[in-house]
Amino acid sequence: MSLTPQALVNKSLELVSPPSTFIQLNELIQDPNSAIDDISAVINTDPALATRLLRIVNSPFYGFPSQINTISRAITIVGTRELTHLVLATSVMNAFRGIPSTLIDLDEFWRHSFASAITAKLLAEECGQSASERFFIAGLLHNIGSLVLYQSMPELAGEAIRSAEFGHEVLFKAEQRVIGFDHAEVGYALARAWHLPHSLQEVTRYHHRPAEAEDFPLDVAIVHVADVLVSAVPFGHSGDNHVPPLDPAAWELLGLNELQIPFLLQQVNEQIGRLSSAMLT
Amino acid sequence: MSQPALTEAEIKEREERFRYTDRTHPLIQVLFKLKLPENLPVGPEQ
Repeated sequence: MSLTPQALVNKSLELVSPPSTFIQLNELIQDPNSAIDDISAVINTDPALATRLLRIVNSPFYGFPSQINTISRAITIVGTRELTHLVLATSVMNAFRGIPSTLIDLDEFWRHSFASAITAKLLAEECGQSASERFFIAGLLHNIGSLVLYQSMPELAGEAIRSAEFGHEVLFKAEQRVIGFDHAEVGYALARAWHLPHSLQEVTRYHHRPAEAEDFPLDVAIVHVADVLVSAVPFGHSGDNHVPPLDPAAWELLGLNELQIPFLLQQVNEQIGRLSSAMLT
Repeated sequence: MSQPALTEAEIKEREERFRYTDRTHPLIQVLFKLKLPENLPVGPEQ
């Protein structure tokens, strides 16, 4: 029987712990009776995580005028949802930090992801979306399935990368041919196994074929376009040297003018160094 | 935002990078020509 994305994720879960703190926090956010103290108590059970979060929120990327010394204060200033997303991002980065640099430069991989996060958030704001922080985490984690491939089947993943580089095809098509499925399907299987929000499941699965998204079509379209923009500049390197094909309908759904994009990407250019520095050090 | 002209080497590199997306689309045409300033150094805490 051939390997499935679900089976690969199950194998990967033997090596990678689920983001348990994020899962607890996500449950707390849904509970109308939860308070800031409940949320900070969960984060403070992991002192390394709490220290890392404080370093991020005190970084030049956020640029707050005064020092934030406690998680409770960070929640008040940054917001519960955004801090929870930072917990998820740092947990995922920790979980996959052992991937060999001979396969992929992880700093460059994350730089692509951070740029996608900033770009998705800015696109969402341009589209008039008020809760734009969910687009940030969606952009940041859209390629999470690639990390599973790199960690659990490095030889085949490497063959797909080389095929995309020299064989004249985009990476997700090379993965489908070499492995039998692509990083988007693996990302979806991981997002489901980790009980990540449904919007993140849809984005990971459909960011290369947004027309097939059944739910959260705008989230999927925004991350699809963000991925194209970031690959075009390029910011970082996700494993593919090519700009993925643009779905014109996804771009239409955003309702933006293409002449807005150079200004938006200039903002990304100004923010990406600060975010990478905050998240990678 | 006015864009400086691309060099021959930049055009060749971009033709390969944009190989799998439709270069007649208006968004892709803007992206193909786009040149951002060199990445800015990480600034001091604001």
